[in-house]
Amino acid sequence: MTVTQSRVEKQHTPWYKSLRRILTTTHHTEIGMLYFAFSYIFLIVGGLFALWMRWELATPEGNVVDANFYNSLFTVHGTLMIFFWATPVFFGFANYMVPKMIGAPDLYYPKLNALSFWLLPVAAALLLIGWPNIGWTGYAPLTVIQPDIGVDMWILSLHIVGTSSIIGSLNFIVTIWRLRRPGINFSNMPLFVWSIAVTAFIIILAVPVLAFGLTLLLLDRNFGTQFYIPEGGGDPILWQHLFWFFGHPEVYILVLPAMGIISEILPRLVKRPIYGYKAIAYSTVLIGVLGFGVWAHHMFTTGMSINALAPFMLMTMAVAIPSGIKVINWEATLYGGKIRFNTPTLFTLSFIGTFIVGGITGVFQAGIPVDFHLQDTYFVVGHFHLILFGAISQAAFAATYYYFPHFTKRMYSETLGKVHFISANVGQYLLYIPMLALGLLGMPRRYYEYLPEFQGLHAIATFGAILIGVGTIIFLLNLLISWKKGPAASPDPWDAAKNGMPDFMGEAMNEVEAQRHG
Amino acid sequence: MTSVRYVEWGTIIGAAILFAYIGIASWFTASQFEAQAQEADITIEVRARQFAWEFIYPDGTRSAELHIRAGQTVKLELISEDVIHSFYLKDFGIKRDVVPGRVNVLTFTPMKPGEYVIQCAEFCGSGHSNMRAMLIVE
Repeated sequence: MTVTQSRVEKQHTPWYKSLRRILTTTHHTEIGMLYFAFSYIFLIVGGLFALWMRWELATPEGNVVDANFYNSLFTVHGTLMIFFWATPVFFGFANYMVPKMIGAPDLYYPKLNALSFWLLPVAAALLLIGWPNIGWTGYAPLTVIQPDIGVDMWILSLHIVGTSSIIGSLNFIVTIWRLRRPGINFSNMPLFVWSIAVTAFIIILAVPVLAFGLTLLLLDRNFGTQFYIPEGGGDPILWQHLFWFFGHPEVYILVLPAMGIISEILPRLVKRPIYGYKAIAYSTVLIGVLGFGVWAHHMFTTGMSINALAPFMLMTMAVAIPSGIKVINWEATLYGGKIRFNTPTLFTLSFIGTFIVGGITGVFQAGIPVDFHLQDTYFVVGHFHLILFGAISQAAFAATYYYFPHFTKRMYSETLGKVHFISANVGQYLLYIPMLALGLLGMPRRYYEYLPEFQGLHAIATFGAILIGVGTIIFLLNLLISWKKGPAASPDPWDAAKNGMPDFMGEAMNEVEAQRHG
Repeated sequence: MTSVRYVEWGTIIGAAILFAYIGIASWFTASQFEAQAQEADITIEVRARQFAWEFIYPDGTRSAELHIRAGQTVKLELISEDVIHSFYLKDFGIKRDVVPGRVNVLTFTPMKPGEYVIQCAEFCGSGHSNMRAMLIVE
């Protein structure tokens, strides 16, 4: 009886207006919203750090901040954007959508779900207070000899965020296996659920390796062990193996949910069922498996023998093929579809386009002799930003626009959405294409001052970054204002159910069944 | 088979052939690069430390600049005294990490006289971006 009463009360005051409710909620949609709020806050924080760096790089001399502060900026920017923006934003979507898509009432372990969210603010606070200056890859032995306590806080922050991801992933695996309603199985399960299942397996296989490497680093720093110090018989290359064995699958941890969500919204936006369901589902699994065999392509210049490196070159190229299969199937879905030029469609299209550009610039670097020139230059920076901002973040933007009417029951402003689209896309090419060019010309990354000959391209890049920043502010203002004042949205805002593809398949099936019995 | 299937398989097979070509070409280029190491005219020791390069010639002279004669095949033995650095000659498109605890070798033959900048390409601390030296080919 009391449960029904509290449900009724909840409709009068929204849950997010009660601090107690925010802190104690275990409901999957509410935790999903908390993940969104958290990750969008850190998108702004990380973005401001990026603009700060771009401002410094507008001129060759270091004249805005000092070298150590600049080093902290790129360290914290990298760690934040990966662990506190791109990962949690898709955990947010997964929280909100996976139970609805498989027809479950909630995740299997709602309290653990709350725990995996609430570990994140703790980790983020440790990172920001620690303010480390070692680069997000934290290469030993620099990280061992760096005296600041900030490095220890960075290690603990990653430990906590890793724990959070592992708990969350186990929760999703159990939920997807145990709570699917009858009629939803592995041959018709929504593709986003497929991608979350594969991502969860990658997380529980890759993150413990990072945790192990970090623990050795913590011991080296504080308890006199010498795992990464050659004087004591250790080897600094060990860190790189452990870090990249996690670090490269991490890329797929970020990109697979983005691909999954695009595979959900694209067919609904163009009113045509997804082409090649099986090919997309199996290529997700294939990427997950092959992604574990490419890590040493980050280490082509460490002096390892060519014989040891060649398999990694081949695997790196092999993993591009399932990614290409997905792209072809999305394009086949577009072929003959009715393309509506609204904001989520535009961002979905720009996701596909940028993913191709970003992906191909990645294949360049798989060639070992090419990588001798490009390793640790701005080419690498341009490449992975095209993937992380141009593809992954834009998939998150597309999905945010698409599901916004579901989340808030209101519609956002299309005009502002299109302004955001134009600024994000013009901005990203102005920012990242000069970075690719700078890399080809030989500008190493993580430089606070640089040779004057590079200034022209850096200035263009800074201009592009400002454009992206303005677009992102417009985007967030659009969301916040529309959340309060936007026009009411229909329960089927994109006519998805009308076209036979309800947004949340499991929930729709549950409703049909309830009507039949009731 | 629909036309989409043809496009799909065509792309997959085409990409696989292209990748196989890139792979084989990379293999031969990289092997050639390693084979060069056998037959050097001069061996120079390179010492990297936060945040400077030092070059030690066979006769024991030390210098902060690397002097090589054009056409001479030079073998660099890269030694780090503290953290990981990376020896990067952007004009030659070559780079090799300088890793404490091991001696990496880099062999190349500069042909054109001139001055080239050597940069550190692996983040090594606060002075990373100023860790430069000159290669002077005479």
